[in-house]
Amino acid sequence: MADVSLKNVGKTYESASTNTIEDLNLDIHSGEFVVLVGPSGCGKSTTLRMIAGLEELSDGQIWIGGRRVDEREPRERDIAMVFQNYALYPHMTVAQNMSFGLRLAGMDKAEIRRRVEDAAQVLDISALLERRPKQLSGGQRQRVAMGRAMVRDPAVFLFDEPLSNLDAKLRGQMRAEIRRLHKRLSATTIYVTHDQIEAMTLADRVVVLNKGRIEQQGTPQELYERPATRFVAGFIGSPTMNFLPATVMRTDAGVSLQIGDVAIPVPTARAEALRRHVGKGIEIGIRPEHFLADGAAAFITTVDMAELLGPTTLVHFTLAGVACSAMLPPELAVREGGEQALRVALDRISLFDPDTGRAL
Amino acid sequence: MPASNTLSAASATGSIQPKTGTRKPATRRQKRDWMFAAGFLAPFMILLLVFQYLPLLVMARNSVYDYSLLNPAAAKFVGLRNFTDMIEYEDAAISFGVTFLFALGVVLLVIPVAFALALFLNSKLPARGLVRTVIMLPVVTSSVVVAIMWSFLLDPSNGLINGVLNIAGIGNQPFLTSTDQALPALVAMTLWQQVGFGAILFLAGLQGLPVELTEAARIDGATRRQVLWNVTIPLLSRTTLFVVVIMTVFSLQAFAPAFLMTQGGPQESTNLIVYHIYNSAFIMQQAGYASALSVVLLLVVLAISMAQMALLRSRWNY
Repeated sequence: MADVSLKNVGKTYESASTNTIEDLNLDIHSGEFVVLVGPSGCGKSTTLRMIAGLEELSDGQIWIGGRRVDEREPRERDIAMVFQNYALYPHMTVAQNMSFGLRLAGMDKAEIRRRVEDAAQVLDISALLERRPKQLSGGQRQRVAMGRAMVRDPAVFLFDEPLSNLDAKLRGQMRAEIRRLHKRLSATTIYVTHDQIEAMTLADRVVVLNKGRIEQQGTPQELYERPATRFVAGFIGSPTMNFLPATVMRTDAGVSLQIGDVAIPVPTARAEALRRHVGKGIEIGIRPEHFLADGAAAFITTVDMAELLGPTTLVHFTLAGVACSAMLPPELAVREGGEQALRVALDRISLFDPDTGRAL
Repeated sequence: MPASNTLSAASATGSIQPKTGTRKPATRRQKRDWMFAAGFLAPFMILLLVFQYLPLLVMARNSVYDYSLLNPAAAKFVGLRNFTDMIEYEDAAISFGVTFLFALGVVLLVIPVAFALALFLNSKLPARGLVRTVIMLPVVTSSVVVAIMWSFLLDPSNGLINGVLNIAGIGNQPFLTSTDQALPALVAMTLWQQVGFGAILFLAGLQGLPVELTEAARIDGATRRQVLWNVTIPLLSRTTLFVVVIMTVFSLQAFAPAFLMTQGGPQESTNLIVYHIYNSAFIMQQAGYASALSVVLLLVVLAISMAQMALLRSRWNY
């Protein structure tokens, strides 16, 4: 276990017109499970590869376990990495793959065998030790890649989109397994993914990256409930948040938000922050589950489409000219083309400045 | 619609139906596809038959005859005598021995040098482009030109190589006129000529390796040398095998060096098999015996090619 610290880290490629990563600062505590998440090209994999020593930094420093490592070779950083395509050595058996690093380190053969067998048992791959990677399924290869990292007992585990090549069912299983392993090993883990569900389910702390900068970091709950920017609000959560243009209006009771011809009163606690925006346009973010159909109608809309998902029904409708979705209880008889009364859980909405994208 | 009238995707692309049940008559579309396919294949097939397989058959037939090219009509059937002569007289054994030694020398030198060059070309060092052009030049240069150039270089009295040796305090070497030095000299020349081709093959192999494997090894604690030894070289085994086979076959078929530089001498020390075949057929006028030698050479090359196919069958993939 070790702390990892990124100080003013920057990365510029000669071919790129802009910096891939700019002035990135991140402190990861010993034993913490941090997920770097963001869309393609946001710099999350590059960040991970810089921590691993596979990419050189253009600026800044990286510290692992109190040692500056950014000018050291990967082998000198006490890290292990699980790659997206597993990167198993095709000419070696599973056991040889797992023990490769230990053999290079000149470890005693009996100790190597013990570690490999222990890891294989934990990962349920004991029966596969003499097979070659070609003879394994995707899930098994994934386990071997994790085993190869585990046996080395590194200070930091790095995962680069390790589940993206698996089918949905296996992904769910492996997600739970990675979480269990982390609890068991308590090793510092940095995990890169573009899948916000993985980020939400695995992380102690999620770091959302966008265009090479940290957009927001916090617990999954914090990011979901209090997104700092419109980007984070839109990236975290599935189905995605609905964004509607609204005008802040002063009323006798305080402040309300005018969305098309629907006026939504703002709770007193949020009204204060909005007073200086009276008469201006803002953006309102409503998660699909925060549209409620409990009889207290704020507006009536026509249902464009209703998707029965099992535990919930995803209802699509148009509000103020914007396509929206709402998650409603499945027992509600929603009919496509029919009318549906909805209200908004006002204490759960997010408000954004349309110019800066920052939360109000 | 009855099954026999339906046009399956397989039949539409002209593939052969499996032999189950009664064979369906070819549809008009199938017939048209076959005609098209035959039309496209015909020119190549005709050339292949006339200029490759037919001469091979003639050669196989000639190998059991005793005849001279000056008077082919007087050919006499001798059965396997040309083949038994090969065993009875030493010339064939010596020539095959020299050729295998030549091939061994070429392969043993080309593989490491070509691999080292490929590693250099695969790196981010400067002047890669220039080196790539320089090492490919001999490959695209005619063997005749190369042989003549090397004859000048290796000239015992005025050659450039002897000039350099003299500067280093070493006396003139006979090279092509020495039984000890002639074959190594031909090996050196072939190395110079073929190493670029080997390097390009290795470079293709190196560039086909998934970069994650070397990265994983580096993270696993391997030094660059250990990555090379434990990951890169084992993963290039198929490329290496391919280069070995190609170089072996090239070497077995080498003719120009022996013909232009040494005429098989001195004392048959460079009497490569293809030159020996040429000598037997056109100088000694023993076309039947030359055909028999060619048949044996063909079988040797065929055996190597088959071994290549067996060994190249993938044991693992990446």
